[in-house]
Amino acid sequence: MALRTQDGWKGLLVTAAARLGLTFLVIFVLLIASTFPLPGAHFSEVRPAFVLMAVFYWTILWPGVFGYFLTFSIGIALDLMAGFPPGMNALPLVLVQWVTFRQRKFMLGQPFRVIWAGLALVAACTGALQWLMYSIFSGHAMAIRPQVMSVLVTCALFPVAAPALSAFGRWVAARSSLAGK
Amino acid sequence: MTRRSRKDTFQAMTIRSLALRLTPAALILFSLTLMIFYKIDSLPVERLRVAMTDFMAPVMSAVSKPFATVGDSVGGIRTMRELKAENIRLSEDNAKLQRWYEAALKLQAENQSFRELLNVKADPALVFVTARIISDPGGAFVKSVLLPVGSGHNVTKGNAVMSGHGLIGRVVEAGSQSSRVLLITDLNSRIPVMVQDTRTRAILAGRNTDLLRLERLPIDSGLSVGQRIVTSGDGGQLPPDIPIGTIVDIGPQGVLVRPLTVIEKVTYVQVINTSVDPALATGALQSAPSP
Repeated sequence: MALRTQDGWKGLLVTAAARLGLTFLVIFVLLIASTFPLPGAHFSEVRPAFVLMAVFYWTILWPGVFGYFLTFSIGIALDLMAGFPPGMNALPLVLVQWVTFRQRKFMLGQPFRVIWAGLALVAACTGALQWLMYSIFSGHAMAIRPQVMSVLVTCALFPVAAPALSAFGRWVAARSSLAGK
Repeated sequence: MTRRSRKDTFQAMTIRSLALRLTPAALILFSLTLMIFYKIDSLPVERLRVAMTDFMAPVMSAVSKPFATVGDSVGGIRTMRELKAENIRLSEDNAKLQRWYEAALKLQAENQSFRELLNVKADPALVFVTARIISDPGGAFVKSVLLPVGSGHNVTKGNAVMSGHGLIGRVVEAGSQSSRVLLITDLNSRIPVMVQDTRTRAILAGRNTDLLRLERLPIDSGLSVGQRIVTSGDGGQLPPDIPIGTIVDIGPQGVLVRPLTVIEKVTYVQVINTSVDPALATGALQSAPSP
């Protein structure tokens, strides 16, 4: 009996550690992709929103693995790395996940172009929300053109990024389900 | 007993479903609260940010290095025609610089003799730390870069950061292994400057665009397009006479300055370790001796 309890505790600890490790891995990979110095002038201004793509795509495919707390943590980590006020990325990302989760059943049966259109809509709304939030926070109307360009680049790169996101998401989901057993 | 068990299961499911529905709303509210708290007091977040960048800096540095090398190599591949043109330009520049070098030597000797005559207290020598930019994470709203040097390399908050051509920003957060540089183009950047030839003082403000704006100029400052802007050294944080840019437009938008450096193209920077006057740093200025 005592041995079984110990096994149980040990199992729980291993599961928790494995999940925590995977969570850190996901945050880490997305952070590097989002803050990597890009060559050439103005590229970083119009950097595609990889985190937004990941949250949107993974919420449709694996909502159980990539939960709200993980999304919130990625958002806060991104805020800290980027020099933003904490919450400036986290809030829109959680909102995106919430909205996407509610539309998940519809999205699951659709061809890729519909999912792409969904991402375009979500990216545009997120871009507008972030622009508004930062303008209010800083007390200045920020230039909207870089934000529009960033949304366009995000939409344009989604078909390229989707297979990579899918592969990485599947890998994490498989490890996560193994950790949960 | 079975009915009770079913009731417990139903209750557990209801609570779980409720928690799932409330979680995003709670996190959104929490995000808003964090932003408000940050507006009131940013210090705790800055400490957390420094700790995080310290943690991430070595990894970012390692990851970005091979890509930077590839980028440098690709940039180095040029056609023979471009190389020939550049060679001619460099030869002309070299001849011009030789003449300037002779003039500089003469002026240096003259300056030295005047300093000795007047017993001028020399400015403290500047110490540089060169570092590669490992991350430019701000995007459209925040213009900042991360460097893999921190207090362990004598880099402190307020240090000036230069490219080969001029000032590009100043250190706003310094951890032990990393530091964050707020670029002069950022909306929150304010640098005390002066016009090099007239010594007119002003504040150079970032606008989140390529051009900067001169603010708090005196009336009838007599500015003209093409004049160079340098740091004034006011406040003791930045050393004086570091070149920043040139005036490119005087119009309804104000006096606009273009930085000497295309900041987004910079890969390596120099952090200037200034030794600030301790009296200025503590605010305890000594009273002048009575005559």
